[in-house]
Amino acid sequence: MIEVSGLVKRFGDTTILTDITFTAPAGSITGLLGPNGAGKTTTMRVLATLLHPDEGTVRIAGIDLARDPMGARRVIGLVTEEPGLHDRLTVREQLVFAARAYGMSSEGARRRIDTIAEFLSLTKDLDTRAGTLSKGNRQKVSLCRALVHDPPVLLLDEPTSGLDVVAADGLEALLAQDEITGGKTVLLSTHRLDEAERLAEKVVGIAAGRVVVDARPEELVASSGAPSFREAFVRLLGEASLGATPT
Amino acid sequence: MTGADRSAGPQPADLETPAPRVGREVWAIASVEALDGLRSRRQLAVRAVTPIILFLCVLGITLVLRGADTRTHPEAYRVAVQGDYAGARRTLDALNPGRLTFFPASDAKIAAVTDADAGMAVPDRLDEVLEQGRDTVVPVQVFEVTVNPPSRAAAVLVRSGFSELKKRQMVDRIQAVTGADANGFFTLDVVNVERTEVGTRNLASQVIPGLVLLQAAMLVAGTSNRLVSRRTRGLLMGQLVLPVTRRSLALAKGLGELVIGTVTAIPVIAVILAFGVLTASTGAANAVANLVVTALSMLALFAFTTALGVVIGSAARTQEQVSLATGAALIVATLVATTVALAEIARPAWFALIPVVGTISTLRDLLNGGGSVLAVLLAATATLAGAALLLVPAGRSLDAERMVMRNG
Repeated sequence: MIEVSGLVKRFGDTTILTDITFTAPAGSITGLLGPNGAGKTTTMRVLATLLHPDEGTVRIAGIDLARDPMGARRVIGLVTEEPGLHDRLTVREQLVFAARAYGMSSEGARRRIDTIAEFLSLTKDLDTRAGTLSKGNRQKVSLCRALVHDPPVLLLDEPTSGLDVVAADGLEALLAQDEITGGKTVLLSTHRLDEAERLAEKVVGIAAGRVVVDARPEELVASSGAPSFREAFVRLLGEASLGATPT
Repeated sequence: MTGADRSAGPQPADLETPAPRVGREVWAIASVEALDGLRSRRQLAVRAVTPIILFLCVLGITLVLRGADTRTHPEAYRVAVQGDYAGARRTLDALNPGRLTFFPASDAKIAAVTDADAGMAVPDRLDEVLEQGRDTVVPVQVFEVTVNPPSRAAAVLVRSGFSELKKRQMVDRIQAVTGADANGFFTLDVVNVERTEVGTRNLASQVIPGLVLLQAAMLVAGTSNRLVSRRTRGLLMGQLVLPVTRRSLALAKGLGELVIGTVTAIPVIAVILAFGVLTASTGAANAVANLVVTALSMLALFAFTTALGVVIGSAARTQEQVSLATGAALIVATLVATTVALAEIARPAWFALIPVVGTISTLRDLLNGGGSVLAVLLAATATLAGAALLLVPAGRSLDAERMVMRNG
């Protein structure tokens, strides 16, 4: 489970996140939605221990980030928009080194990599240099790397951004598989509403650094009276933006 | 699938308990860095060749300004004689007297590589045979150690001595037959000009520290450029979420770059080995010890400049800033290398405690025959300590928050 309470983040005099509070239940996918510049990536970076919160508390799988950031890193798998792969290394090499960096043995890492690669249809690419892979496959490798140490929490920061429709659909289908994300707490940051609607059990909407939506998609549609999730979300976001006082 | 029925969970993973094994994590990151760098052959080639070219210019200036120290071999060459030594004394005394001294030996070949500069084997009663049977063919063998210049010189002097002897015999016979003076013959003298141990030491003490420093300076550029390049490609972000401290990450990156730097230094290491062999061949004492100490100094310098590269690469905002900083580092290194090569000033003992400069200076003193191994080791320790201290700001700079603040 991810628990965020009263999170505030400032860069200099600019407040990026204002009192962000939400929970992402264990064993489900929670969508983190919002327009560009809303603070999604900053939120994800705080959760990934890359940024330090100025106020508030964040607990990942029961670990307080402020008290034990190293412990939190061990239970987090992170996928970002940019896969961040070493182009001259083969897929297998990157995954083995990642597993070793999480303290796994070589043998354990090999078995785990073979298993995940099979689920992600990456087996035939394991000995290919990452630089020669398509962007879709690079993102798959990134997902594979995030899963290699079997973390209970998966942070996906716009993983399908920049992918073509086919590659994005393929990755989305993988994220829906129990073998990949089942039993894990998944926080999926995206600006694709249809993707969030299909995958997420719950959505958290952020606008101008504030949480404006925290509900199940079907609840959101029912409470707003809008005909679709997309319309309900856009309507709420628009109202929130008008009422918000950006800082 | 909405996640409502996602309770199945994954298959049990083949995972060990991810215990905090800092060493393993650091080595894993260092391995990635090293492997990625070593597969970039073009970069490796540039980094390996650049300091050699740069230093050839420095060395050229040095040699033009100072020249190399040479001398004529000061003492008579010792030649071991196998066979009837007593029966050959008069002949031997006539062979380049003053330039050669002879002594009897049971095995002149062995003696030529141990006690003497060269050796020779003479037949029985050589003096008598040469004096009585002037047209007799007399077998004389000369033994030389070809790779040893003094041995070659001694052997040449023996041969030229016999030529001179034969010439005199011919002159005597011509005068006896014609009654006239026989002029117009040449005299053959061999002067062995050799590079002295002092000269070799001086040259080596100029070349090696400078070359090592320039190679080390290349590590600043290579490390910092690679760090910025990887940051812009999103590689650093992935490493920052690994369960390692920032300082350990800086250490891992430094270790990876140190491996790359050592591989690119292979040409320089080969040059140093060649100088080591040259020094040893001139009979310089402690040649092996000097090589070992040189290697340690090199490692210390590489560690320092790599750490400096990590600091620059993690602190710089842009590639332009990296280029500026590394360019400055290279210029400073070149100036220090040139100064070390040319300066003859005496330095105080505490100079050894200054990282980098102390190492270069003490190394030069040692190779020049004037320093001590202890001073070099002390200087190398100071340089390594400096490298360790540099990891502190490097670890602080390897921070996502700073990067966001820098890059937006």
